[in-house]
Amino acid sequence: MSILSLQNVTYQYEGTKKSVLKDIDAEFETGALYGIMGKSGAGKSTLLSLISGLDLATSGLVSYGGKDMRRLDRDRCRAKDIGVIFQGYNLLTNATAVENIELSMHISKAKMKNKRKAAYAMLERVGIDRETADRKVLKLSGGEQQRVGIARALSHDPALIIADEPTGNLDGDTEENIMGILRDIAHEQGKCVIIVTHSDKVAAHCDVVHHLEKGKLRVVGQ
Amino acid sequence: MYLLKNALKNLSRNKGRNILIGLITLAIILAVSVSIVINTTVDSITKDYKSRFGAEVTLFLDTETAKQHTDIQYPTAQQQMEIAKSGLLQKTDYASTLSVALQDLEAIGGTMVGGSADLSGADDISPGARVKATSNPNISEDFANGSRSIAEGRAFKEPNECLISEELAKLNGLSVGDQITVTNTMKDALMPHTFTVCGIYRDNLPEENTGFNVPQLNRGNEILTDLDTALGMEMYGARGVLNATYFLKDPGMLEAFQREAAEKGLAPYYRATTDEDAYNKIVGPVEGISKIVTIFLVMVLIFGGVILLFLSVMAVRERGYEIGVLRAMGMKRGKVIVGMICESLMIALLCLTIGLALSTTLSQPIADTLLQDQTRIAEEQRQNSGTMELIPGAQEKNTISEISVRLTPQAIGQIGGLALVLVLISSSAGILYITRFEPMKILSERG
Repeated sequence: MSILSLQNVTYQYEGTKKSVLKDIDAEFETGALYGIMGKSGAGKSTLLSLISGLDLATSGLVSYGGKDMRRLDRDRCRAKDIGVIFQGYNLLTNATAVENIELSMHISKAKMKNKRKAAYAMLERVGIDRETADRKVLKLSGGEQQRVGIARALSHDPALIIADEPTGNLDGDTEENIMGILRDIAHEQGKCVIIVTHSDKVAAHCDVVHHLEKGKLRVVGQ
Repeated sequence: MYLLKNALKNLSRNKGRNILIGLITLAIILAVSVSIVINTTVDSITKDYKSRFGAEVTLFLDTETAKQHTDIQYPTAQQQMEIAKSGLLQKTDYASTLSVALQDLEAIGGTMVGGSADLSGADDISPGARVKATSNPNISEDFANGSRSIAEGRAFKEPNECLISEELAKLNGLSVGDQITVTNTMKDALMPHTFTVCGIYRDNLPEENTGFNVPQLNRGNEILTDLDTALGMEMYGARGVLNATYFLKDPGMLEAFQREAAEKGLAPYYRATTDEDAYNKIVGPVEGISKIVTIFLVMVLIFGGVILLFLSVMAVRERGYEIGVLRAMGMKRGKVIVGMICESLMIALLCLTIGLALSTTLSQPIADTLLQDQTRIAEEQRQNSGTMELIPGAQEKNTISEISVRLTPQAIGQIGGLALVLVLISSSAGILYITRFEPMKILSERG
């Protein structure tokens, strides 16, 4: 079942005439893991911004659950339906790892009684122990921060997970672990996971791989 | 609820910035609190005096208008009493003065009385005394404020009873129960009037050297009696002067009272006016404090507001990333704003509590110092302008020498309101920033 579709999506940065994305058409379905590959500057992160509702297309239609993203409450979408794993983590650096997760649960109005406990459990799932969870984000390594970012994106059980280089700073074992989690989420929990990556190893986990080049998106592997 | 918790946690997460903002807010709130506490006290004092002096009205000769008239007539007693019937008044006090000659008695400071102290070439007798009467039940304000006291006998009760001074009694060997006769100062119409001395008063004011030796102006030569007796004296119609002091029900009724008085025959060159001089003398220094404090308050609010706004802009630049992250996580604009306002409110609330506590301690000494300065300045200005009392012993109006400042609910309300304004100022830059930009823009700008 299609959860996200792009129709003739074009994007230009403000004040420029050059289109980063040109007339992109794509369908993303639940229960599948998608990979988007492409060179640096090809517009992969921009594409993720559009499908996560952080930015709007210059023209064309981005629809989530059959509804035009422009007409949706995009804040609510990001809080409840879409989990975003940012390349730069985008965590609250003065707060602890567990506070980051807990806050995300509050924003999404997750209906769990003990949010703190659930946050610890979520962090443990991505390999963050309780002691590390109680440290301020600033004092965590890049890999730990990345895992906190992943835990936060998954914390409110979204239907669509968008990840920008989610394993970029992780060692081989942790990368395998995280990819395993994302794959399980897609296949066992029926979510749609879209990953932007440079890594062929990560792409190998994906059900469908898109390549973004010269503003165009095409399927290169299935 | 989580917004409040998060705001509370944010306070400790960003200690340095919040302590700086807190100190500045505390300084502003403290300055504002002291100013408002003093101002509300001063306001209540001036309001009280304004209502008193604003309600007390006398008839005053407008010299500018009077220049256009050749025959200036002082309002007659009947006219003044007719005006006193106005429904706009709560009461009317009368004071009457009548210059008289003492028959077969010596006046203090005078040589001869009893018709022999003729003015050269005139048909008149030099007045040696004044018969003073008032409708005030306290005889006169002198007795109320302790300037005079009854040394012997009692106050007048019956018609034609009077009080005389100790000096006059001693000079003429008079005592309680004796009779004295006063006459008109016109030889051809003496119209003698006899009083029974019912009491002897003591003057407690220090003797003043006015530079003149005029018996009529000597306080010791004042014969005090009741108003009905004074008005009933045969010579009163010829030489008596009645001064009415009207008390309006509300100071705002002055214009209506003026119109009504004119309708009742008050000459156009007479105006119903309040006692501005006395008011200025008494309340002037206190009003001076109010002006200084208000200027200080405005300066503090302007400079403090600018500093807070500057800090707010700096804080938002620093917090741009945090705002971007919260928005990217799906937190709505309104909630981010509420969170920021909560943080500012908590800082302001803490500063407000400390500020109010400190201001109650600091306001009194500050007010005392300011009042001393203002009283000294007002006194110097009076001396420089050469203002002096023409009539010795004229009613003394004392400047307010102390004020007791206190924290009123009104002051707390005002300070709280200003603290809210400060909260809005310190959050405004953040609010503008949040409402203007999308999360991606905020995060990329930060990058």
